Amino acid sequence: MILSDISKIENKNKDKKAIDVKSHKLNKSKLFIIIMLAWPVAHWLVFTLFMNLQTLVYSFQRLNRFTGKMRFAGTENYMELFEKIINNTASYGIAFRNTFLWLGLNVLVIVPLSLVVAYVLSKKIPFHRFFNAVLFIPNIISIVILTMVWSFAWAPNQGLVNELLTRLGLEHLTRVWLGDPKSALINVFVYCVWAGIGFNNLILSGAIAKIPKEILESAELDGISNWQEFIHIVIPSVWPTICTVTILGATAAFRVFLHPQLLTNGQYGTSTIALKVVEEVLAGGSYGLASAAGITMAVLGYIAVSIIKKFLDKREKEWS
Amino acid sequence: MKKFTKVLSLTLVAVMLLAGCSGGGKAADGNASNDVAPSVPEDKEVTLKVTFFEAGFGNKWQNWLKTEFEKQYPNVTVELVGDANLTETLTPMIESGVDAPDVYMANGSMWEEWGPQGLVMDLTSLYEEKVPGTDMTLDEYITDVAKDKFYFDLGKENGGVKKYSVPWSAGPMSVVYNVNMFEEHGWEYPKTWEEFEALCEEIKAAGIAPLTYPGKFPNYTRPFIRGWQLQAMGEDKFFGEYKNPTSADIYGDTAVLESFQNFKKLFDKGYIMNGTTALDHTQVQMEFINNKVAMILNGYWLENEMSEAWPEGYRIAMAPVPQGGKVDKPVSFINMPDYMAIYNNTEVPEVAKAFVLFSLSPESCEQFAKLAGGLRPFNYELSDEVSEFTQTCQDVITNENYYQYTDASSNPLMFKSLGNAYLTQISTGEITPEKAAEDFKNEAATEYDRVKTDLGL
Repeated sequence: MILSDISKIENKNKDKKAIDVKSHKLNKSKLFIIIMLAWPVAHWLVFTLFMNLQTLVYSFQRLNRFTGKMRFAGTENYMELFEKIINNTASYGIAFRNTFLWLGLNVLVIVPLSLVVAYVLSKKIPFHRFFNAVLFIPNIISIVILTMVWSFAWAPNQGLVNELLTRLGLEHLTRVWLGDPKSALINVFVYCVWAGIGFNNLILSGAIAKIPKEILESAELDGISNWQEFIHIVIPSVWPTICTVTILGATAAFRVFLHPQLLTNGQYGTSTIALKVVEEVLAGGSYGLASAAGITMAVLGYIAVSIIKKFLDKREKEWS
Repeated sequence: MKKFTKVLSLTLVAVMLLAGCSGGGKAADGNASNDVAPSVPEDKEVTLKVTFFEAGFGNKWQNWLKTEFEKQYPNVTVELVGDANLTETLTPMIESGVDAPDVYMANGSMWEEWGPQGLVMDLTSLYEEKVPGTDMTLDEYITDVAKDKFYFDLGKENGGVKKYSVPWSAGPMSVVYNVNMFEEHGWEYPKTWEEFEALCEEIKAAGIAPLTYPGKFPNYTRPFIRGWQLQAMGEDKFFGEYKNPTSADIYGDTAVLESFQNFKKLFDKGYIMNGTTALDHTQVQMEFINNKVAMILNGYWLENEMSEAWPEGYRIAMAPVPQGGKVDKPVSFINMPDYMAIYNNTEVPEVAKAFVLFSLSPESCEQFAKLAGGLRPFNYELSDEVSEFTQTCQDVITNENYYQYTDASSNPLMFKSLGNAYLTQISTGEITPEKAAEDFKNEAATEYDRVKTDLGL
């Protein structure tokens, strides 16, 4: 009886020790997790949550320039924004339209084109390394320099493009590329395609390189064409990566402002809502209107990206 | 989805409450505590941080100021910070107080917002101080044209006329012409618009483009657009109604339409250099330097901005906008976007004021002209030692034979937009001047009502 009691007590002590060690370990791992998460969480709370909430608050306020006080303005900023878009006041309507054109450009033009380029270069065509490097160069040079060089190339009087067209006897095709509403937006889009392919190409090339060689070799033995290989093997295999670059491109469309600002100063039908936000804040100090524009585009962007994601996920399910 | 909707609704309600409650939070009452006389204490070491927009005017003048101020006050160290992106970086500095300067020199009009909010210091009492090297108070020393911009009438109930900043730089924005080219061809800068058109025809006949401006930045057409509006309205209407409106009707005046029509005429008659609309300021200025165009719409900073590009023996001159309409003299548009202000929470308000006052002396203004090619809207005279171009700039804004004015105003009710979006559309033939004037009028009317509501009028 006494022996069994002693062994019970010993067992209890052992259990307690085990629990102590376990809880000590648990505390240590909790502490580790807390320390590791503290900075990103604090960063998120300050620079994401707080700033976005502050933007939301600003979007319902307007400034009295005589007293320096902000007043609650209800939906006035939103109404002003919608009025400006509908009436195309100060080209707001065009800027709104362009934001969605950029969405189409990023998703429907740049991503597919990048995929084609990545696939072609994966075939190890002559100079493929050179082409990869050339395509990536726009990502490592400052956008200010890139747009300046682009502007010089397309300049109407001493630019390379008009000079080339003249020498080829195609003088009738020369024009004021970046100063004409008929060509300015297309020209800015062409610039975006040129400067945007490199990054996507890098990501997609990596994904294509990871496709098991056995699959590609057996397909080759079956005698499929490059087109069939691209459609039936490459695209389904790298679909998750395509989804990633598509979503990145879609969200970026709602933040585009530097390209039109540097190439045309947003003139000739090339502005975007993001550029209007920058102009409102820097030139006019209209935080309320700028915030309302930012919130509106964030909501529309969320809806657009959700729809795109839904479509991408559906395709992924079909292929998995 | 239901949960998401609930969270979203709750967030929106919370935000609306927050927006409603935090209405008056920004305005500070710090001005009274900083109403000190400019002075420099001799018993302690002081560091004064001066941040400035480092662009067309460079940094030589600021370095001169630092040297001279430190020479006069050996216990003061002036810490200079030049920033080419100050327009973007200044707002977070002033509004958050992080890394905020004691004194800053910037362009724009943000002081109009920051003054009433208590973020920049009320300098009204500084205007009663004697300016070093003169017998005048700052109030007497500043030109009348500049008062339009820097005297901010908040209305009786908000403290009347306040001065939150002092002019840093202000000078002519007008037609700059190539003197050598003009002399070579025997051309003379015209006095009237009829003569101007005749001259443009002569220049065209010589195979040279008469005129250009940075097409990407239609704001450079301001001296012409405002000049035409002033000439069509006459000074009483322009200053009494356009700059200080009592209703938005003035923005539907035929003068606006006339200015847009005149602008279109410049393109229709082929006076504007081909390709202008696609070019930025550097590109058109290079075309001007390379003798491809005889005249350019530009400002007094041009010579300094392109200092490394001018060829040997170049000669350029600033000229007023030709006479026309109801004003019997050629008109000189004075551009005054640059200002100096003091951060309200500076720890050394008296030293900051002393520095600002020190920078206003005629000697300092002379150095600004010599070292930076800049001018200031004060009553001082320049010596002959400054460049020929700077002398012509000074002449344009002081010559009694010209009518000097500015469209700058601190009156929030004035619709200050030049109509840049309309001007680019007119320049490319997208819209007619009539449609532009109609849209301009509607935009101005909507904005006028909004500002009135904001001001509680």
